[in-house]
This record gives sequence, structure tokens and C-alpha cells, in this order.
Amino acid sequence: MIRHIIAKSAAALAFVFAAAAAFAHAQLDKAAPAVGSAVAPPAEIRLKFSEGVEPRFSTIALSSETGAAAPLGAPSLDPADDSVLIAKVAKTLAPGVYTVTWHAVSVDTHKTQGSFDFTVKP
Amino acid sequence: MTMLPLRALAAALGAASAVLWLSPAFAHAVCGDRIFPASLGIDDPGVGDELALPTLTYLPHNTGGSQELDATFSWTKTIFPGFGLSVQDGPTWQRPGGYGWESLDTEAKYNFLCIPDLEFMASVGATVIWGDTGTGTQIQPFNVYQPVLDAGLGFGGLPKSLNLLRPIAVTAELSESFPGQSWTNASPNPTTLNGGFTVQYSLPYYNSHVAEIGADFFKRLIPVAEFTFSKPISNFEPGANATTGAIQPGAIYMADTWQFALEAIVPINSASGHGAGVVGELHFFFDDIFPDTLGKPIFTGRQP
Repeated sequence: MIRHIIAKSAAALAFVFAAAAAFAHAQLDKAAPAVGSAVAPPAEIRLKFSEGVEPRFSTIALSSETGAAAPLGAPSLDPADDSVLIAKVAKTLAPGVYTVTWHAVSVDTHKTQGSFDFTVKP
Repeated sequence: MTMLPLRALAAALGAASAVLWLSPAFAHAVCGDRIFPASLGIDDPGVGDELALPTLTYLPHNTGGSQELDATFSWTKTIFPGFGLSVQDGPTWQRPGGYGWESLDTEAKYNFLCIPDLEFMASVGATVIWGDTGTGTQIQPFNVYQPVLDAGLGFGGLPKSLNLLRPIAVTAELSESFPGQSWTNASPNPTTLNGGFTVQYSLPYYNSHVAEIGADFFKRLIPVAEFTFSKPISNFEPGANATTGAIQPGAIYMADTWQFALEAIVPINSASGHGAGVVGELHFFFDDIFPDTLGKPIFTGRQP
């Protein structure tokens, strides 16, 4: 009986592993500027997620310490990687602390969100 | 219970899940910026399509003085967004004592609250441990009914001057177990108060909100400490109302579609056993693995 249970469990596990394709909640893996970093004024905000995202339903916003919105272009995918969302910074950022706020919809429709700061050096 | 009814139940649930592929993907325990992992000592505050297979527990000396090994599974199926049914069972080996299949444990759970800005979510559940469904050493001739409250709070709302504390999250659970039969063979079946909490430090949260972590392994790791207790509060034999419980330090590795958790089990007192045990669990997020089929609610609705 125990062998039977173990065999069935192993078969179930094998099935689940085999089915575990790259669909999941899109979590922020890397960013440029990097999370918490101090950098020169960036030309774009680049967010690398743990899986592919849908640019039409995903957003990136940038705000200064005062809460004022910094203009960004519409987010688009890196043509070579559908897990990288890019938004161009419309004008050169003045020195200070900025907050990136993102909402992502992964290719399997799961929603995630987050925010982080970076500093533009003088 | 023989294996046949258990298999029939699993097959029925599986068939229902397979046939009724109607609604969009439903997230596991996500509230605002926070993803609460599945913990081992207590349940997480979310409701999602997930499978824990297996959960292996080893205790060198349990409360009865026996060496114990448990191998359980738990499967949760969402019926509509925020509401799910789960089934848990599995065999237990004790030495001395022998082998037995645990009583079937089912729960209906509803996630009634998520405040995204506070990273706070809460759920209520109703658990039934079904009498006469265990075998061998685990035979229990009566049902046990257990209302459960689960809650979780992330610290992401703290000021950014306290950035290093923002990856912290706490979850808690409180329940009361009511036996469906007050006496069995002239012995009282006590009502017990059960609870626990976890303290977690989410390195995934740190990586995406505080500062970038270079090593891929660490950016998916969540160190955790769990604390559980149980105390008879009525209908117990004189002197048999000691609080039992455990402290469970460990870590959870959270991949995209699965997680693995490993924790030590340290009894809080002699009534809780002797020596440190260990528990490990492989956990699959069906909402991520089968987002269009088995991993979404049977009835329509979209996770906010």
C-alpha cells in the first residue's frame, strides 16, 4: 500500500513539474536604475520581471520627492525580451530622489504591483 | 476510512475542476505589493489554487513519547474568487504505535478582506475533521469542527526611513476546535484553543522595494519563524490542560510556480515533546501552473 501511495505521489509530482511552464506572477527581478541606487539622470526606466508582461495593461509612473509626476513615455516591451518593460524618461531629471511605481499584468493575467526609489546624483 | 471513499472524493473534485474551466486566473496570497508565502505551522491568509505535496514532518519524541513521521498532502480548489475548498490527509507512522491514515480534514475558506495600501488581508474558514475516516492509530470516532481566522500584515507601509523593516510581514491564525462528541470510552474530548503567528523577512520584497540583491538564490528566499500553540479550554481531565506548541525557525524558497519550505520544530515545553523535529514541504501554485484550467476559480470572477 505504501509503495502504491509513493508511486502515485511521484507520478503526480512528475505531472506537476512537467506542467510548470513559465507562467506566474510577474515579480520585479531587476531594474535600471537599480532599486535603491544613486545614478546619473537615466534616459529610460527599465524593469525586468520574472516572466512576460502585457504592456497594454502594465504601467510605470515616476514621481519626485514632492510627489510631482515626472513625464514618461508609454511603456513598451524590449523587442528581445517580453519580460522587460521600458518607459522613456521624457526630460532630464534634476538631482533628487525619485519613486518608480509599477503595475504589471503578466501574460497569464495575474496582477502585481510595487514601487522603489532611486536617487539622481548632482 | 478506507482508501476508496477518499479516492472517490478526490476524483470527484478533480472531475469538477477539470470540467468547469470558466473563469480567469486567480492569484494566491497577494495583497497590494505583498505576496504572502504558504507557511507550515499555520495557514497563510489567502485563498488560492494550490497543492502541498508532500509535507513531511519528523518528530523524535511527540507528545505521546513516540517517534513520528507524517506524510501529508493538501489541495485547495477555488470555487469563486476569494473562496476555496481544501482537502488534507496522509499517513502517519509512530514508533512505538504503528501506522495509520489520518482523519480527512476539509476546510471552506473565504478571503473577505484585502487592503492593498496596508498590505493587510484576512480570511475566515470552517474546518471539519471527519470522524471514522482515519485508520490504524489515527482512528477517531467523531467529527471535530473548527472555525478559523487567518490574517496577514506586511510592513511595506512603514516610512522609507525604516526601509530595512519594510520587507517584514507577520501572519497569524486563531481557531477553536469543538469535538462532535463530548466523551469517548469514558474519557472527555476537550475543546481546544489553537493559534500561532509567523514573522517573515521577505528578501523578494527587499529586492524589489529596498535594494537590489545580486544572487538569484537569495532574492527568492524568505527567512521565517513560526510559533504555534494549542490549549484545552473546556471538558478536559483534571490537570490535562497544559499548553503545547512549537517554535519553528526556517526558510521558504519561493520560485515562480512553486515553493519549498524547511523548518525546525522545537517544542516549547516538555508537554509538547522532546528534541527538535523537522518539517519540509513542496508547494505548487496551481494558479500559476494551470492559469487557464485547474488554477482558476470554477465560477467566474477576476481577482482584484
